[in-house]
Amino acid sequence: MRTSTTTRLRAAARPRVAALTAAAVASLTLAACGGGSSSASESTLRFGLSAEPVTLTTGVWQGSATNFVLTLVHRGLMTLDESGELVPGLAESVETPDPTTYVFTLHEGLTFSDGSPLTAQNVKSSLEYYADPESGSTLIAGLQDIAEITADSDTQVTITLAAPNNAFLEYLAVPTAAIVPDASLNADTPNNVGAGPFVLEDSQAGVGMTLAKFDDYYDAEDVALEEIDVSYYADGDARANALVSGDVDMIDYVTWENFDRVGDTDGVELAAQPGPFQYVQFNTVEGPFADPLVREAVAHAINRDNALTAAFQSNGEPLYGVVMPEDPALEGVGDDLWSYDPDRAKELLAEAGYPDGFSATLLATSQYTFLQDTALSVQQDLQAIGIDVTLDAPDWSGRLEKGAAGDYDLAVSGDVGIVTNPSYLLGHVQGPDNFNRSFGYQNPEIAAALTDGLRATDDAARVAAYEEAFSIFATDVPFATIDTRDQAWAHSDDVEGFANLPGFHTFFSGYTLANTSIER
Amino acid sequence: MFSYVLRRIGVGAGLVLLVLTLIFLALHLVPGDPAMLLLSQGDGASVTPEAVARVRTQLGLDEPLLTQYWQFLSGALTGDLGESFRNQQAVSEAIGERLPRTLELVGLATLIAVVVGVPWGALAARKGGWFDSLTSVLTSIGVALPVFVFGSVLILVFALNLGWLPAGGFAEWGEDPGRHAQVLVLPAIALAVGFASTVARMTRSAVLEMLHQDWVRTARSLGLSRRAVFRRYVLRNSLTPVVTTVGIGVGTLLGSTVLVERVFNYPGLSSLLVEAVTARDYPVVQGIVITIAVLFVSINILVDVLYGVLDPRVRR
Amino acid sequence: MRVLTRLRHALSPLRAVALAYVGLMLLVLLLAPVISPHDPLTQDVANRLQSPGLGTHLLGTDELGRDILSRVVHGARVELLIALGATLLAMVLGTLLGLLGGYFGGLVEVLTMRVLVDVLLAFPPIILVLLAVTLRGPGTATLIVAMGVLFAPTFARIAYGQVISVKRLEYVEAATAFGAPTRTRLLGVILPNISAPLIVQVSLTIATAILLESGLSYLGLGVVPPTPSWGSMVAQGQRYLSSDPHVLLVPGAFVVLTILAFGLVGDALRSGLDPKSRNQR
Repeated sequence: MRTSTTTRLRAAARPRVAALTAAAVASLTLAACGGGSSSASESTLRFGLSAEPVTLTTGVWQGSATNFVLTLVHRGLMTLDESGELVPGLAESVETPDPTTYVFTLHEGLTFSDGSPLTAQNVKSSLEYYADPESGSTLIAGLQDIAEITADSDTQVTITLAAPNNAFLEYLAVPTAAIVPDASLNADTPNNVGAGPFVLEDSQAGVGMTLAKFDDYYDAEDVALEEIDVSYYADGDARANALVSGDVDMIDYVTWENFDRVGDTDGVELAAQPGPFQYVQFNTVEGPFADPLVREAVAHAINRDNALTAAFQSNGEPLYGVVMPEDPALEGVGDDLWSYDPDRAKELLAEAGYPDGFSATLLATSQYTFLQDTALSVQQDLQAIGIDVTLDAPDWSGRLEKGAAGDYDLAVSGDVGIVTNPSYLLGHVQGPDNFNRSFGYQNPEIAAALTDGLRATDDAARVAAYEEAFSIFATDVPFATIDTRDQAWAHSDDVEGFANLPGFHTFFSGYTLANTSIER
Repeated sequence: MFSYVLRRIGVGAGLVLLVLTLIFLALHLVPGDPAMLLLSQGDGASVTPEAVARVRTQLGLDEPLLTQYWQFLSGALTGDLGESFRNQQAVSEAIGERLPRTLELVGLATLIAVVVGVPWGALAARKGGWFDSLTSVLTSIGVALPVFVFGSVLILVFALNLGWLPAGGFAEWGEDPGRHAQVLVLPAIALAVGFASTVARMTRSAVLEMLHQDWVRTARSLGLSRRAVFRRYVLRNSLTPVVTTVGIGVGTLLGSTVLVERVFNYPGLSSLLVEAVTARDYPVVQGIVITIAVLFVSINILVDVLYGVLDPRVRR
Repeated sequence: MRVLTRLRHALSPLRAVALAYVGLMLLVLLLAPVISPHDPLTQDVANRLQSPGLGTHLLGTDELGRDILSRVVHGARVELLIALGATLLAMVLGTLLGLLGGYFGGLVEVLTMRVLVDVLLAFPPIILVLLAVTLRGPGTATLIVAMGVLFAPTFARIAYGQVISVKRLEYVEAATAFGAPTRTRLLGVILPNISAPLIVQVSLTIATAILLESGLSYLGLGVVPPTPSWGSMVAQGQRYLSSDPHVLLVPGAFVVLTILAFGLVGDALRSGLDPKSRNQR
């Protein structure tokens, strides 16, 4: 069975009582037999994960495998429900008396998995740690506006912002924004103790890890899974094979070549959602791409449909602008900046002084086939407008180093925002250089307009700010977008209640395992 | 013989030291920053320079190269290979877990290869004719089959279509012996096909050569039966190059099981090595290389001693 | 003349076909741009993954809609260049080391067989290539050198083992007694007598080189795309094994045929060149 990629998944009403009873029975049986790890017992989910998570470091973004573990072991003040909507997590409720004040009331009796209580004081110290650039946290963009955090009582926290920030709550739902014990607030202590629905029970390096239900989780009665048995399957084909042959119940990251095979298998469901976006980044310090006209030419030269088919078997959407959140007020803003128009591209090149084209190096990587295929497609498109492109395909590590050092003319990249709010674009137009942003690119005007949008308290002001930002974006081209790719999870029909969250949140879909059950 | 073995061990120790130095230098020459990589796995948000700098300090990568070399060397001599950059597991522990798995796989594949390859090659050489030609064709195909393709076909047929065996993965012997054995079958076969073909070819060619030696004719003229000559003398004398092939083959397999491990998601040593290089996990790479070097040297000494036993001319 | 006669005797019909195939491949290698029906790099995504059949694309198209026949033809060039180059390098390097080490013994043996050969062998093969590729960047030249160095020890050890076996035999002693210079003894007397297993090894090494190239492509360490090589085509095609097997099978068939042909030609050479196996089939 194949879930449509555009319609959102809505979980069916959860059979709470039945699941609970089943869980209770299962826990008894489990206790009796001592827990064989690969036996397919009732209410144990066998999960095939695409990478081995590295040691968890508090507050640091360490990639999707690590984020998956965070969504299970940890919780923040806010979380996401099965349709990707922002809802309170550890906080029972949030009140916003004015645009710069947030009052969080915590659930009663919150406890960390080490048995210590979770109080308002932990909230204060955790968030202050994440707002400190020294921590290496990626939440700084969202938390830098915090003026003051006060613990009013054990269960109430008031946060005052220096200026309105309409993405603030969304940043608090990012898995790395979890509330953790004070002992974890340093770089050396593994970030294993949390207040999430599951507890890290056992880890076997290179093979897998076992997570058990955390009985003191605030919503423990809704957690149906007693155990999640994670095995690592780095290879995409091996991962799909494991699911199709029934070795595991669920996998993340189905590679695109396997969409049809997995989707067509009886008893298996493929859940795909448009997720990350691919784009061309430029060296704006040296070489022809320092000229905005040349960058705009590239934006008009890319045949998005071809790239999408070549790299993702057409599983995704062509992208002629930037990815914007699903928000009725922002409908049509920023999504139509360029078109596929090779003639226009050639004109722009001529205008920039390159009527006969030039040669350039395109940085890709040999490690991710989809980036390589995207690069091949872009190479052909650029050839067509007279840019003679040579591919440079080092391994991922080499790609990172060359990307960060600006050792390229153009590069293809894939990225997600950590939030869907357009402020995710800020990192691309200001701040330090990085492997996945255009080298040396700084545009204070776009940054200012994006910040205005972030601070706006009414829709009209937001729309005006973003329109301003994207009108500059269209001709200055900080990066040229190509497409969004579908990101798929897949599971057996026995698994109920899991939802692949739409958009950038697809990587946070582990949140919904708290409400997932398995019926064999 | 004894002093010969002793000398070989001395040379072997020097060899390991050389390997150890070379790998250390090579790794630090290779572009790519482990700290940065730790913070940017796949997709993701931007890394802050502060975070990268902090991780570098944490991993000891900001020390001078010579200091790092000395730490590595003195550690290695005392058996401490450091810990993984990625999951802080002690490298010796990681190797201790994974080496037996790979050895098991290689051992099983070698067994299959020798048991199938030697008799087959010998038979082809003796019988000749169509059987020999068929052997030529089959062994060529065996040698020519990319192991990842053959492995995928095995999975397609035996795991996905027939459902006889798991598609891959791993189970501890102590936890689930049945599954442990099941999981090994397909990767061992995938690994053995090429090796068996090589062994068969080498045996065939060595036996052919022996069959045309003058002493074979002499032995036959002395009244020994064809069968007896073949069994007692030809086969035994043909084994010298075969032992070399198997010895080198085992060494090669140890390092090249990576494709099989990848296809079958088998958590062995070679896949760890490739992952570690890709992730610039220096301690793990260094640890594995040293371990394999030590193993290689030991096997090597063993093969040389075997040479002496099989071929008296070598004995000194 | 005697060699040619012997070679002709060694040439069974099967081997003749194999020889013809190798010749054909070499011709393809030279004429690739002329005989290839399409540009091997031109993409036509609308017509991707077409099955083989009569029409514009005889052997079908790959995942980017590129003509597979044209890629196989051009890939032959890259493939044979890498395989032959690496093998030649390995043979010259390895045989030289083995001859010197085996013949002279002592310090020379330590330097050649222990220091150079054993150090190389002591590294897991994959890491040598991995390091070479990460250091130098992937590409044809890197592959030839890395694989040549990687395969050299095998030649060296075979040569060494053989030299040890024959150097005390009568004909070598005789050559020494007759005052033949060292070079003549090494290259003129010993080398021909130990060449049979080396020649067998050549055909095996070509096979291994082609295989390794495809394995490395599977790991993303092969030739830089879009350059076609059979190995990278096989590795790419592996992803479409269950849905569009021709993407894998076409280059895969060429890999198998070519290795088979080199194996058979190697056999013919061996039985033809080796004086000891004169009467052999």
